[in-house]
Amino acid sequence: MKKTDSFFQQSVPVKYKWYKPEKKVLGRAMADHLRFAVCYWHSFVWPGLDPFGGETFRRPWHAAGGDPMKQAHHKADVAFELFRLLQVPFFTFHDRDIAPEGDTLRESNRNVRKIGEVFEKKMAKSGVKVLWGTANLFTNRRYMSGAATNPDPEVFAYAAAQVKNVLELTHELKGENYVLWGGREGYETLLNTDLARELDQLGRFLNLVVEHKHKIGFKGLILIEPKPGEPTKHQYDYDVSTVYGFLKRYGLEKEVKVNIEQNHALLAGHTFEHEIAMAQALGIFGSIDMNRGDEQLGWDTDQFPNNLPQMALAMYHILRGGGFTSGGLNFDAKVRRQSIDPDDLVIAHANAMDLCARALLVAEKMVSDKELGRRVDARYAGWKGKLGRDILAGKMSLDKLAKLVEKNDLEPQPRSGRQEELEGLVNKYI
Amino acid sequence: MKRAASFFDGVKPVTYRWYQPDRKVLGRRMEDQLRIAVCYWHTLGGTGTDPFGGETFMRPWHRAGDAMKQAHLKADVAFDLFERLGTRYFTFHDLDLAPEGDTLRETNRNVRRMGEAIAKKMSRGRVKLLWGMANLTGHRRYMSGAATNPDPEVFAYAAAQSKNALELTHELGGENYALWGGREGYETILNTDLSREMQQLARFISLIVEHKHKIGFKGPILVETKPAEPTKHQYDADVAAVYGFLARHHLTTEVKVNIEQNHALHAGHTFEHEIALAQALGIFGSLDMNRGDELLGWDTAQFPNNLPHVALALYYTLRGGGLGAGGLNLDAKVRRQSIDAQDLVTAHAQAIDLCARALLAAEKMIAGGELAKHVEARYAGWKGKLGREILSGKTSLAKLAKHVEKHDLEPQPRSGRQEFLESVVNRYT
Repeated sequence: MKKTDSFFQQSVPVKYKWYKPEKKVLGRAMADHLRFAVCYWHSFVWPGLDPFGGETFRRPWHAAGGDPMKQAHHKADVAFELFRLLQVPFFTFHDRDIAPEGDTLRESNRNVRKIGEVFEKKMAKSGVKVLWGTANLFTNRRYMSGAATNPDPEVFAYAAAQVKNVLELTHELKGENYVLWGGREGYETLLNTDLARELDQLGRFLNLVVEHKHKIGFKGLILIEPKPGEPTKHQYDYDVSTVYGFLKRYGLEKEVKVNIEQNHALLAGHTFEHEIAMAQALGIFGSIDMNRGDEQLGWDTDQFPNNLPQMALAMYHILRGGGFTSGGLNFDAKVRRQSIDPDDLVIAHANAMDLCARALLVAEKMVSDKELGRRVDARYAGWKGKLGRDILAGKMSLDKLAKLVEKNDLEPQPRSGRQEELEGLVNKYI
Repeated sequence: MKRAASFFDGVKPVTYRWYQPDRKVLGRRMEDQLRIAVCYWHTLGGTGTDPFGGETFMRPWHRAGDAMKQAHLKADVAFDLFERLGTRYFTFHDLDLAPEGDTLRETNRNVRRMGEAIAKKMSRGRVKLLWGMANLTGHRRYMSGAATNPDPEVFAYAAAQSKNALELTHELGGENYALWGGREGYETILNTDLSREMQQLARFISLIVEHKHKIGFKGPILVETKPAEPTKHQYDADVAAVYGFLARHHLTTEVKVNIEQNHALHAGHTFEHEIALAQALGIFGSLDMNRGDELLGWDTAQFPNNLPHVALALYYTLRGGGLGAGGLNLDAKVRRQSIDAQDLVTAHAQAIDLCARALLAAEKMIAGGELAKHVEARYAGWKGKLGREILSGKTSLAKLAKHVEKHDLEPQPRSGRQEFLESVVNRYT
């Protein structure tokens, strides 16, 4: 661990103002509510590139000419040092984040497994766990036209073989979920695309993953991460509703849930809490990629969360839906390109964790006070009466309803939605 | 040229349906109206990377090897492409041409050496330089800005790099010199002194203008507008923002704008809006011809292919007197999946043909006169005594109030006829 000691300036674990892992919130330890994870890719892989500029971070494990496996070990040392400094219970990874790609898939998979063994030791020593693993099916040029949705079935096969390795590694590391993000499962132009066929291919791919999960006895959730565009013009896993329809069509709605990211929700034109509430309503809420998009920019800025009212509302809806089972809050967030100091990584994560903890406490107040819930309940109170129950239970027809209105001379009066008052109520808790 | 010829081996010869360089359009040769340029960066520099994936193009000159040799190979392929397309102009950043060295001295020397190679190629054919510019965005030293960096040494470095690029542009007979401030903006105002940064930027542009006069460079200095990307907010947000900036720093007679279609969309404008506004403000310079995606929020920089859109852009360009020293620079890239040499040729050739076709449509719009006639008729009242007196400052609120009272004015609204005008446009396309 010597090398890692020298990477971060800070050597003692972070002191939090709001994040107290053992503190009870609504009867459960704060750490068990929040289930924080650090992601490998933004924190240890991204070198500070953007579409108009080169590397700014100059991480030692990215130095040119180094032995890639040695650098992967170094990266892992630094990663677990960050987990220690943050006292974060989970991490997440893509196969290509943790180990270098080889000349063949066999070699790539072997590299991944070798680092997997390193992880196992570090995890045993530190107690840090895998929230989820995923396969990178988007960076290599073989995937430029899609992985599962590629016009070439050999690419589908290659992707399947890669996923098998990562799913099994995730299982062996006792990962609590397995994720798929379809960054190339979309198209640039319909002119060269058979959309219906590609959807079928994606449905098949996902079924293979689910079948294999059961075959090897993996108990965690399979999660799909929705995103409407970027890198491709249109991606099939557009948003929660789209994914739900897709799962229904391919008979997977009981097998697969969603991993919802704040920035992706914004890109799809939704608020974060909308996507959370929608997933809960549809029974497919799985896990959260916690970050922050810029409402005025049209790409994935993946900033660390820092808006308390927005975060509190997201946490409120997570709690209202029963909280996480095997999911968690994964910081799919990156420090800015100009934040080149090692400790910017520590500060960014620590601030975000503290903000989420604070938001959880606000959400706890919202839940315990019950006022927000009561207002919504009151708004739909009529549906608890006989009429409402009969309608939803399918006991009414248009005829019957028309007769009912006529007989009772129904003249329902509009009632205020009281949005401003509710918005004020939210601010009272903050 | 042997190596260069091999890159396009097997590529079909270019034929144009609409682009006929010598055809007269509104009294000028089509080639002189369009002044089409191929850009070095997307076309030769592009590797096919995007934020979620690596290189897909695998160009021979991007293979590992001697960087100067690769730069020569790239230049061979570039001029081979210009010849195949029959285009007259090209555009470059200094670092598109030649590799960056360990010091600025070495970098500038690399750029100059490639400049000499390019000068030879230019002297052998009829290819000319539309504009050159310095890349002040790619290297990490510029991550917090070039002119707007908190560190004045970075400003000095950028100035020295720009001096070299401006002088090279001058020596190559370049017809403009361009600046794009991709890092002249900020990520968060929490670490930014906005007022100081704008002053720094103005000083920088003033230095360029002073040096232009010193060396006798006659072409316009162009600022390319863009509201964001890569940074969260860029100072050259749009034409109106740049005009205000230039006016504040007494640069409106010295500097013009290079307008890009995709950047106009990002700023919430149509391409033709930005063109017409630049003409109205007297700062129209040149066009970066490409196509953004109205539904995506980043620079897709696709090749133009919407005839009505491009026709309207060219109509407003012609209405304002044409491109002047500017041109139509195809600041566009083939898609990441378009990995064949043929794709590069096809994309450019089709875009050129589309621009030619759009020019012919714009010619009809001008010659038909109907579009302009309707606009003129709409403002006809302003040509009368009342209108002239108002604009020339001869009236006051009191006088106008008396005028209304005396004549019992009761102006009636008249239709803007938008749907009709839209159908007139479609008649020409």
